[in-house]
Amino acid sequence: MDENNIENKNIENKNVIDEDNSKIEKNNIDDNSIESNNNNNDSNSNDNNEEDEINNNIINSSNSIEDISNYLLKIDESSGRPPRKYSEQDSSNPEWFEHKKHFFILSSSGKPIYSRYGDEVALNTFMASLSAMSSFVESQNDTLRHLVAGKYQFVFLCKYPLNLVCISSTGEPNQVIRQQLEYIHSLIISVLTQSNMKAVFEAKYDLRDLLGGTDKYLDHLIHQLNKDFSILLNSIQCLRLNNNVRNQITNILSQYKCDSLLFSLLISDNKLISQVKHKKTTSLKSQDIHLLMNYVSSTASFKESESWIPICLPNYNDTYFLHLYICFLYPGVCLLLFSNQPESFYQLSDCKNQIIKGLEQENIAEELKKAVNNHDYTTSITEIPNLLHFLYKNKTNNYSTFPTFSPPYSIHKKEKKRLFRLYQHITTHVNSNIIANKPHKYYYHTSQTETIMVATSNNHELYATFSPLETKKSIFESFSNLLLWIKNQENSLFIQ
Amino acid sequence: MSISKSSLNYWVIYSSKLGQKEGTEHEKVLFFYPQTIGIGEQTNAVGISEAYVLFSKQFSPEQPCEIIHTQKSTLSLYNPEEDIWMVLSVNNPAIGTAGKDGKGREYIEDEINDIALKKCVQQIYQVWNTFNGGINSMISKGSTYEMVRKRLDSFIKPYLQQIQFDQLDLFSSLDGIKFLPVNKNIYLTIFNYINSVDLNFQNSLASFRFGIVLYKDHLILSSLEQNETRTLYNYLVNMVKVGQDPSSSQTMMVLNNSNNEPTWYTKGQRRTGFINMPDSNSKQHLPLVWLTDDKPQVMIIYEQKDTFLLFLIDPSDLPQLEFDELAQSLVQNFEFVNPTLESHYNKRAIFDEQYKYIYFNQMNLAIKSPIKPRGPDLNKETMKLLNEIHEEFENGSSSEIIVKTQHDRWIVAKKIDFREFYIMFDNKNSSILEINEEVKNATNKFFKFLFID
Repeated sequence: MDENNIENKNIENKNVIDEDNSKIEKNNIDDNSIESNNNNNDSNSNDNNEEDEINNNIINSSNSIEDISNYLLKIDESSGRPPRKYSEQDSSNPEWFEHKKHFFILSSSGKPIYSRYGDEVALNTFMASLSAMSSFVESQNDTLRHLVAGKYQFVFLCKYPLNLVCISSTGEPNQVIRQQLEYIHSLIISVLTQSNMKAVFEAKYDLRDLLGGTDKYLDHLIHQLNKDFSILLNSIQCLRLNNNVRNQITNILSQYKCDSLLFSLLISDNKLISQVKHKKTTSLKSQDIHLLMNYVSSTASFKESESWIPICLPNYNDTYFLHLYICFLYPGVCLLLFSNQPESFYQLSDCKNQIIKGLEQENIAEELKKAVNNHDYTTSITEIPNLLHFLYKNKTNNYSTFPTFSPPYSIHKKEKKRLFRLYQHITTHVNSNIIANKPHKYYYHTSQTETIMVATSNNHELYATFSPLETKKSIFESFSNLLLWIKNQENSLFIQ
Repeated sequence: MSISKSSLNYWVIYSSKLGQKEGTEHEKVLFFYPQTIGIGEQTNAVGISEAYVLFSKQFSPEQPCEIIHTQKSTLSLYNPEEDIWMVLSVNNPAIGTAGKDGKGREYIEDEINDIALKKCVQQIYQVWNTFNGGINSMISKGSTYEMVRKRLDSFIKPYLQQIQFDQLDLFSSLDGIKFLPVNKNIYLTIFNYINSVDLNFQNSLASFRFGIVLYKDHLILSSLEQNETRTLYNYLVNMVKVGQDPSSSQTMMVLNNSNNEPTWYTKGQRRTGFINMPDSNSKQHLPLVWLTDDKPQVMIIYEQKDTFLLFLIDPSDLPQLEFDELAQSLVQNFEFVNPTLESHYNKRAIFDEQYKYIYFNQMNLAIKSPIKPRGPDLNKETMKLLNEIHEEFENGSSSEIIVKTQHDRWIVAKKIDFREFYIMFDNKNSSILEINEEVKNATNKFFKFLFID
């Protein structure tokens, strides 16, 4: 994209990148512009950058819709993203219907915004029929939830001004698919904010134009939703780390701050290392943290340099943007700093430098790098015989832990998926109580391939998988031992 | 807080072949209930159902849309005959009353179970089909759609009105048959009696044949195919309510009216004799039944002190059947076995007093349970849980499930080959191992009882 094409006077793009050392050069920044650091080779992030500017523009400008329209006219349509997989397919190809799990986003008026497979524009008619079904039910003051046809499920999530639909033959419980649609919806909010989305939709602008470049985040998120145990448990996985080291890190994070700083987070991939809340405000919800992790892991350019993006955290406040400073301190260790001020980039960059200094002074950096490499563990570490796998959620702080797959699950991809799907069913059953709205106390499931025992209390949920040949007695014993092991390891498994 | 239970929203039967021209869509509707709903909305209901089917066929051509969940209702679609569709829409249960803004009412969206709802629709069709034959075959035999509409209205409406839509539980999903366990001697004696009656009458009337025999609500013997047995058993036990005190529950029985159309009547007080023939001169009131083959047969039900015998005969042979003679031979035989059957029936209770369980065998459709459907042992939580476990068993994804609920009820469910066994305990302080011991004890006793008795 040639950024010089943009002539809107409210937007001045100021990002100049020194590719050699990835430093930011300070330029004159006016009130409306955002600072962003891009890898020029990555056309995707350029797209993203462009939409960020729009977002910023929406917040700051009183006649924002007018501005956007001018702006949109100038977007160089030819600046294509790399072609997506299956983008040549649409509902006229029989193969298109063969995909196991479709996701669609359309506006409440039926305009296509996103399709996981195929080009959403070519799917115009198909999407219109999706829209017709849900709007018919809406016209009767009701809301469409899901249809069942043979092994297919059609799950609808209607959140004005968006409709999200999943068509799946994966056999996942509809409640789980609904949760996945909720995640996708929050991702859209995080790019646009709910208020902007409504304003844009009601002004009859095409939301798709504002969401250009979001596809790769959506694709990545969908992929992640299909395998992430911590999302399944509505929780956050923590990096396994010595308690003292973690405390030191937390101290450093709380020590180095500036006025506008709301939260400091240190993450490694999709694991949380530490988080600090600097102001009296609501804490971050796990869904928001997962969205952040999704952004970080689906954008290669974040690894190269400091970045500064506006982002809305839907569960924190869906009406405005926060400003997020992103920087990888070490390979696999990423610092996220949230500010409510659009121009505090340099203060936050200073914070980062102090944090790095702090980490090095206390010799924690090495420990941290080691922990990143040693996080993964298998069930053998617990020394509990015949334990195949487990999931544990600490309900007081919504942190979770689980081992990586070991045999028999690690051998075939299919087996991993099967166990994941099984957990999806079991978590749904355990939490399906309609009346008390509380999970069942015990749940024990046996099939030909495994036995899963579940116990829940006010403080935790534990799902443990054993061979189906184990006796109940030995499972019961192992289960108690596993609980003990987790209790003993709590200090390093979870942020205390 | 006011709670509204699940209830019928609407029920429609339509033919997708009719009303193809724009503006004539309302002609598709063959039956709609409640009739207070205007023709416009009826047509809408048909339209949206056709849209669901058409849309879902793109992905699942063999099995188009069967179930639709919305916030306020749950729908089941059924396509029993070519072009004939049935749609049942049930209001989800809800808590609170809606204010002017429509808020303040919370719908419980996952209480209605898909399998139970599908079963309910299938049963409605089955009852219709048993007493009327298929809709398409009525048309092909010269009935007009107007006649079909009239017949549907008079036949389906009363049936629909008595269904309790908040009670679609595991019993409705399993749709099983209770068998009376009798010892070999009694079994052979009854078998002999029935054979001799069969032979005796078949000499002169070749089409005469024995169907099933029940003691109260338990089946003793059937000469019909499994599905035919299930349909007629279901009719006798759940509609005619044989063996139950007729004053305590509403009975419904099909007789032919003076126009020779099947019509619902209430069964009168307990009596001995042909219960679906008011007097011996009213053979024309005996209803026809369509079982597996397309040839209707006359259904004759005889009651002798809690024993119910069902016979079938070709309509052309009916005039020659001597009912007095039939009655006489039955009285003779069954006066003798009735006391033994009664003692067998009462013996069941010993195990049943100790345990709350449901046993179901898919192979012979046998169901055993001391739990009364709609009784206090089946609260909403348990009902939902049992439905869910059954669904897991149906999917083949599990062979044993043990749950301890928030209310400290243990439910243990096992599936072994074609058998499903559910048992409930209310021992608050037991561990899963103690419960496992309890289950072992119970199953030992149970299977001894089941096979040796």
